[in-house]
Amino acid sequence: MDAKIVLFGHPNVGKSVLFNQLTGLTAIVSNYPGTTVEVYEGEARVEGLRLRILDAPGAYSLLATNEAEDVARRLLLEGRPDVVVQVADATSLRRHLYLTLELMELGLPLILVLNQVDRAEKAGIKIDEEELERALGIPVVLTAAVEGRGIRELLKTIVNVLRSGRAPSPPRLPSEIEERLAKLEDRLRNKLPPELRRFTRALASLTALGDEKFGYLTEDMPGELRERLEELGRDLALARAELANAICERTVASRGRALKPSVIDRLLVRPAAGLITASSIMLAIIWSTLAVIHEVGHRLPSTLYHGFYEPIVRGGLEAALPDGLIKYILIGDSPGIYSSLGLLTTGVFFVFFMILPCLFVLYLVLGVLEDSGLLPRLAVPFDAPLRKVGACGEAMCPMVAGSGCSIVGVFATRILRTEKARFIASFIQWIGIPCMAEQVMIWLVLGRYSPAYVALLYAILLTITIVTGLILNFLLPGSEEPLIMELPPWRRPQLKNVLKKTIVRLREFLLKGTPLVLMGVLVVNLLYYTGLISALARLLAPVVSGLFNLPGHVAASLVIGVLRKDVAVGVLRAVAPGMTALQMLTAVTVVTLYFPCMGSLVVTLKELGLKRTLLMLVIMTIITLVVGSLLGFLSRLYPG
Amino acid sequence: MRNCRLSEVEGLARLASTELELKLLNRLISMGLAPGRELLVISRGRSGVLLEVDNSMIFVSRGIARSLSCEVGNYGRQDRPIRPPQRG
Repeated sequence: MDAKIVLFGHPNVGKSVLFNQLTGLTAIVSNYPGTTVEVYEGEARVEGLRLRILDAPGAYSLLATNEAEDVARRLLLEGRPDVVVQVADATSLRRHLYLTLELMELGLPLILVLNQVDRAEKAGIKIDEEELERALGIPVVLTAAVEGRGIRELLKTIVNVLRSGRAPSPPRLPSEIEERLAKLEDRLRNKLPPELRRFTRALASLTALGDEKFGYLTEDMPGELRERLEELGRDLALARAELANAICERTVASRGRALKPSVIDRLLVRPAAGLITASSIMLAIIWSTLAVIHEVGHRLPSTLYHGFYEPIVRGGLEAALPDGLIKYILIGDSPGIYSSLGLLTTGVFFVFFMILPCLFVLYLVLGVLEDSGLLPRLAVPFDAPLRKVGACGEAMCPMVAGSGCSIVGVFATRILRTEKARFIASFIQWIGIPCMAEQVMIWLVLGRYSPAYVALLYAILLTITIVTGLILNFLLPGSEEPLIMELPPWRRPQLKNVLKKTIVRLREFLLKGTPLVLMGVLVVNLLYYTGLISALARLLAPVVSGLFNLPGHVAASLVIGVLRKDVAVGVLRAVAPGMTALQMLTAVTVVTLYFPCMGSLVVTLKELGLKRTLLMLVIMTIITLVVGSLLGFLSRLYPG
Repeated sequence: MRNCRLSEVEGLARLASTELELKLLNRLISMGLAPGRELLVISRGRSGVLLEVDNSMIFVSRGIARSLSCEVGNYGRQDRPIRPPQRG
């Protein structure tokens, strides 16, 4: 028998660690149908049952305020899970009970997991598990997922709930509120599609709270009734909070303090100190990561490639294959990595000896940043400066994710609550934040001249981001949403969890990115083989050579950039080997700015629509022409 | 005991009432900031207030902090010193 289990809960409660403990290495990432929000799915087998376990995006309430929370809710309303497992933080039960009460209204079998019970014990917090079960009418399981504690009990409880099929009753609120809710339920029942009727109570509550998605249910309501609906919503929210408080008073025997704010936390809200602290930490992390990448992610793989791989593959195929197109496509006609352009030489080097080791290091660092609690903290000091360019502090998480891959970054803007913030945060990622693979190439290609040129490139990108953001913020309509954000406690990242995330991300790159990298190398190779490169160079000469003062063959890089920016930067040395440092800076800047990669373009089209995507492309073209021309002018002025 | 805005509080306080629209109120409550709840201001600056509520740390921007009314002073809990609010 198969059963679907959804893990649901606030962000940062250890849901993913629990998910990993339950599913081992079976997890796959997929997008929720019709959306780009990632949902992790894994499998567990227990007592002859196959449990499909889904890790829902974090949500504070069923009243969704962003796309990720909406997906989490849809997993319950549309996904028809057999059991919902709410994961809560044992150190702050009171805050989580509000969501428990909302989930109870759904009428789905529900289990409450109190995770991080180890932290609660250390802080002297004692929870009366049995009393809590009695008060809520649902099973309660204590876990410390990082230690693997309570996992067996949880699986056993899931099986028991599955076999009994017992669902909780909605919480008992004051009778006056219950009566008003019952009346609302009667009004709504016939308007709901049949598949949602079982959730009438929960949807009545959401309607009273002003949920926009179910606004159609109240469209024909007289104005006076609608006003009373808002009153009901307010009373309902306060009554739930009161009930959660009362349950907590009965079940949490002693309350200690589990939170230890650090000096960094105290500094974050102070504008200058916060920015300096956050920026210093980020810079230290970036520089030390790049140093590790240079040694582990580049020097070692390069030695392996030149020492073992190339002699075997090139040596073998040179002798085995006759001269011709196939040989040219596979190993090119010259031995250098950048000049060969063969799929098995340059292509394999890019993927397995250059990008993959670097991504391994970078994803590992990103995983540590996420799990340590540092990433969400960046939102606080950067909130004010980002608001000046039309985004907000919450955009820091998508932007850091976007420094890995802008496809992921644009997906992640779904946590932002206004369209304007999403547009600007996505645009900033297009123009101002090269993806990790591209950054690696930038360091290897431009860093050869001097690290100062790399710093100059970042300064140019930052300036463009700020100026464009200020203009867009002024021109685009839309209001700002205030920032309310939970900062998770500082945690020591779990190696197993970080490694698992890294493996899943690398697998995604191998599956989705590798074909594009190889295709990029193949296209450049064929441009040379067919001689089309010269025609292309002539076609783009007025811009590439005229405005940007670059060799005509850089046009090949621009074609590849549509597929992969990292490859486009990487092949610059092959297509135009004699460029000066300033010319290389111009070329890398232009490749970074002129167009997003195909993957990012498709995601943005899907996320923001054709009109906004076209607007972004027009702005990018203008910026590229202006900045490229300025740099071209400089490289003419200083030809040495 | 006296009332003031959250943006003016230092140290311990109790959330008294909110003047927020319904959706924002629901969000605050679902994150643990319900009226009657005790909170501790960890740090405050021009950008907003960092506070502790039920062993969790929450940042609220200054605009929201101005809309939340708090009680400060002697309302029962004595285990930590309460500093008077600073105005201005």
